[in-house]
Formats: sequence, structure tokens, C-alpha cells
Amino acid sequence: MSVLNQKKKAFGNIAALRTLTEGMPSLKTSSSFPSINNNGDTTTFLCDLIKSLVGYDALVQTITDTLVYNMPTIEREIKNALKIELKSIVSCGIDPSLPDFIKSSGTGIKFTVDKIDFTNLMKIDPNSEGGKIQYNDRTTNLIDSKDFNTFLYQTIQNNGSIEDWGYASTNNNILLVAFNSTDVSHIDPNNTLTVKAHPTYDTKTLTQLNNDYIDSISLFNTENLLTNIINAIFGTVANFTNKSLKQLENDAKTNTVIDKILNSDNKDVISDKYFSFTNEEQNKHQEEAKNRKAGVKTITTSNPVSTSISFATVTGFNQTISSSTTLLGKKDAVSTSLNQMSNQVASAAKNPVDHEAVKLGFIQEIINTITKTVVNSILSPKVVAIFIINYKIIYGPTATFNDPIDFLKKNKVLVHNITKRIGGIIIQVLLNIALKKIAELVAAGALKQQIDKTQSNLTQLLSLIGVSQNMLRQIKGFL
Amino acid sequence: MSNVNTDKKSEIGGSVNLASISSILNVINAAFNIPKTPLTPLPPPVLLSGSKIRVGVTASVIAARIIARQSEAGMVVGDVFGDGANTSEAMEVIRIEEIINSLLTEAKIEIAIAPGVSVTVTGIGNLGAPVISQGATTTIASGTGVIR
Repeated sequence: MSVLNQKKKAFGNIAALRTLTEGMPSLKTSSSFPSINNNGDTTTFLCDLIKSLVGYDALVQTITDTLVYNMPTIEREIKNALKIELKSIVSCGIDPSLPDFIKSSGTGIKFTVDKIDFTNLMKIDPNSEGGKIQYNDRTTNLIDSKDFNTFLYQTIQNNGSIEDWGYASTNNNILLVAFNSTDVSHIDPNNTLTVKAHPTYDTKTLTQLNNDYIDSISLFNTENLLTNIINAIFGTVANFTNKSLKQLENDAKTNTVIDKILNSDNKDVISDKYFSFTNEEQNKHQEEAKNRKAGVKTITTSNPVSTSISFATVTGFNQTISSSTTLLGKKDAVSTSLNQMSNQVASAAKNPVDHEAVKLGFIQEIINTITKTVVNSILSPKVVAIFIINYKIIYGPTATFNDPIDFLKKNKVLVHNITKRIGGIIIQVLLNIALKKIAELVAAGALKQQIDKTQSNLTQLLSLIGVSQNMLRQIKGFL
Repeated sequence: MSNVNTDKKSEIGGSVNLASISSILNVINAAFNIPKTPLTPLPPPVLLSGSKIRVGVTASVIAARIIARQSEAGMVVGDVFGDGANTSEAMEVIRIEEIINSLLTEAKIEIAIAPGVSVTVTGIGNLGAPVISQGATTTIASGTGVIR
């Protein structure tokens, strides 16, 4: 049976069971279910299935479950993938021990800030309005933060000073990092970072250093991930921090690459075509960049409607979620924020008939964007830094990444691995909810069938002993 | 120090291949199966006596009941002003008439009776005395009938 027919069968089964339990059909498999095709996009299909089973609330539950309860799993899966990829890079080298130049007494590995900071995050102060929602951990001194990005920002501010990384998050110093805005000897370019291993790692292997570094960094928290998702859709933060069109076009290109890999089959070879773009794709990137720079997204209802989520809304929910100390509190905060935002987006549609469809579309867009946003997190300076260190050790001091697409291309196995792992986690959450709701529907259907059967048996027996048809129809509940 | 087991496969998803839409669809469609239980047989004496008082099926009566209830499904009952006669009701009558006509004039019921039906037979013995014997049928019996 084709994928399309199997999908139709699933929706048909739901329609049949709902007719059985609710009396009359209420499901339309029309254009409101965009997954009714031969496409292999599992996430959209499961979202449509959940919409048809229970609707909006269950989709909100999918997001809260993913962003609150599955964060540790997502972080662990990505860190495992990063360690595996780094190990494979190291295995390309002959000697797994640390080379002398990266040891604490060596010259260190040097690269300019822009080679690891593709999004210009280091130009944003962690204590600024835009910075508060982009750095995971802000301490008073910043240099003792558990977030490597915050640490790196302050290292750059402490121009010329050598700073220790690792102790705040693992009680174990791992790297020595220094920033020099200018080199008096004119050998190194301006804005150069120099990274060396901490003396305790001089006798250890590169893999040990890599694994300990990956364990020392924190990749996500719920509030910033949700912020990044909203920013990816509406460009709220990009608009506030006045990101350039060029940067936003690069974001769009990155998302296209991730989309292509996400929709690829496990057996597909990730060739160069995944990292090049057609004219149509490039036009779409420019359009998306313009919209995100303006902080708007156009949704199509009866008429195209321009919607947005204000920066105040984003900072508001970010603070509410971060101040929740329990998982249940975070779940409620995420759920409330999503409902407020979906109402805000829906209110842009002038026709009230469109409101429910807009809310569903908004929630589904968030689900579709989770994987892209999570994969985008590996383009953060804290991840790119350890990769550039390894590349320079294995391939020489000139090895570098030109831009985010170059990084994704050179680490395509990693991107493929992470994309599939995170996609799998989200599909698992969706599948669990869909199966739970189907089980409830099937149980209600089985009960109705049994009641019908018993009633029919009774009325048939009564008909054989002369009970009138009117009485029998009343017993069956016919009007 | 943490080490990575590169051979370890992800545990997410268990035996379901989450990367395959066909695998997901198989799981979803399998979840719709409702277990079926067999019917309880009607008591034969009630069936025998009760069938004699059945009134039989009539197309017009069935069609009338369906039309009387069609408002439950949100359909318009009766003629719609400006649209002429209610064609869906006319179609309902035709549909039921054809189905019932076919059932009454073309359908055939075949029944099979399992072996093991108790039988009591009386006869006359060699001395002219009545002989009663009891037993059970040993073969499958069949019969035909029509719908009324």
C-alpha cells in the first residue's frame, strides 16, 4: 500500500471511530491536513493526526513535553553525537596524544573570533536586553559563568588576559583561553583567540580533552530554546538586535540545509547538492531574511496576514520560564506562553473563522522548527571552538571554517546524525501522544460496539416475543 | 572522564524505525484494531415461535424512517424553497427500494446445521410393539430460505 493510501487509511479509521462514538462524521481530510500526500515528512503527518484526534491542546502538550521534559535527553543525544564526531576527526590523525603546541607550555591554537562566531553573538553584551535571552548563564563577573559563550564574551573584554575554562561547570580546568585585539609583533591578525590545554591535560589524549570539554558546556535551556524558535519563525530578536540581511540570509541557508537533511532517508548519501542552492531557494532566502529583519511573518488564511511576536512578549515569557524552579512550573509557564502567543498571532487574522486555523498553524510551525533550532545550536561559538581546535590539530594551522554552511558541509555526518536523533525524539513524543489518543478512541469505539451488540441482541429477542416496533426503536434510541 | 561507546545505537523509538514513515504508519494503523467477540446465539424455541409474528420488510417504511431522521445528520428535510423538490430524499427512496427489492426477490439464504442435533425416532418392532430410539445427527445438514 502506498504511503498516501496508508495515511488515508489512518484518517479514515479516525473518522469511522469518531462516527461510531460521536454519532456523525466530523472529520474532513481536506487542505487543512497538508500531510495527505506521498511525502515522507513524519512530523507533519503526526501533527495532522493529533489535530484530527484532539486538536490544539495536544499539540501544545507536544511542545511542552519536548521543551521541558525531553531537554536532558536532547542535550545528551547531541553531546554523544559531538563526541563521536570529534573522535572520528581525531582518529584521522596518527598520534592521539596532545601535540606540544597546544599543551600549556606551547604557542597554542590561534584563530580569529569571526571563525567561530558566525552569528556575531560576541558583539552582544550578556547583560543587555538582547543578551539576556541569548546567553544561558549570566554571573556577576561573567568570567565564572557555566556557559562557555558568556565566558568567551568576558574573555574578549579582558583583552590580553589568560582565562581558565572548565572549573565553574566541572570543578576541573580544561582550557586556557586568551584574546588579543591587536598583536604588537604583527604576526597574528587582530581579534585573535589563543587556546591551550590546561596543565592538567598536558599528559592526556586529545579525545579525553574533547570529551571533558563537551561535558563542561551547557547547550540549551528551555527558555532560550523557545526564544530561538520564535526568533527563527518571526525574527523577533533579529529585528531587535538589528541583524544584517546578510546574516539573516545565512540563517535561511542553514535552515534549508537542515531541512534537506531532515527530509532525507537514512540511507541517502549527504552529497554536495545538500549545501548548494537553486535560484528559487536563494529568492526564498532573501524573502525570509527581509521578513525576519522586519520581525514579521506572513500567514495565509482567507487573505495573507502579516503577524509578529513582540520583543517584550519574548523577554516576558523568557523570564517567566527561567524563574520557574520546578519542571511542572516550567511546563505551565511554557504552556501559558504558547497560548498567549498563539492568541496574539491569531488576532492578526481579521476573520474570526480563521483564528483556530491560525493558532493550529502557529503551533505546528513551532513543532517543525524545534529540530532546526536545536541543530542550529551546534553553530554556536562554544561548539565551533572545539571543532576548529581539532581541525587545526589534525589538518594544520590554516584549516578553518569560512561560514556556517562550510562548517555544516565539513561536518555533514555530525549534522545528519544530530538531525535524525532530534527528529526522532520529537517524532517519539508525537507518536506517544497520537497512540494514547488513538487508544482512548479505540476503547470508546469498542465499548460502543459492545453496547450496540447487546442492545441489538435484546431488541431482536423482544421482537420475537411480539414487542412493538415503536417500543424497539425507543430502546435503540431512535427518534 | 567520559568515554563514548560509538557502537551503541540510540534507544529512542525502541523497535519502531522512527526515520521511516511506513514504519510509523504501520504502528498507527495497527492501533485501530478493535477485538471482536462472537454473537450470542438466539434461543431456538423463541426464534421458531417469534419468526411467525414478524411483519416483514417494506421499502417505503424504511425510506420513510430514514427521511424522518435525516435532520439528525444536519440534512435539510422536505422541499427547499426555490430549489424545487428535495432530490436527496427522492434518491433515498430509490436507494432503499432497489436494495429491498433485490433482497426480497433475488437474495437467497443458505443455512448449515452442524452435526450432533439430538433426534428421537419412533417405529414398530418385529412383534408390532413401538420402538423408540434416540441419537444424534452425524453429518452437516443444509437448507435454503428467502428474506421476507
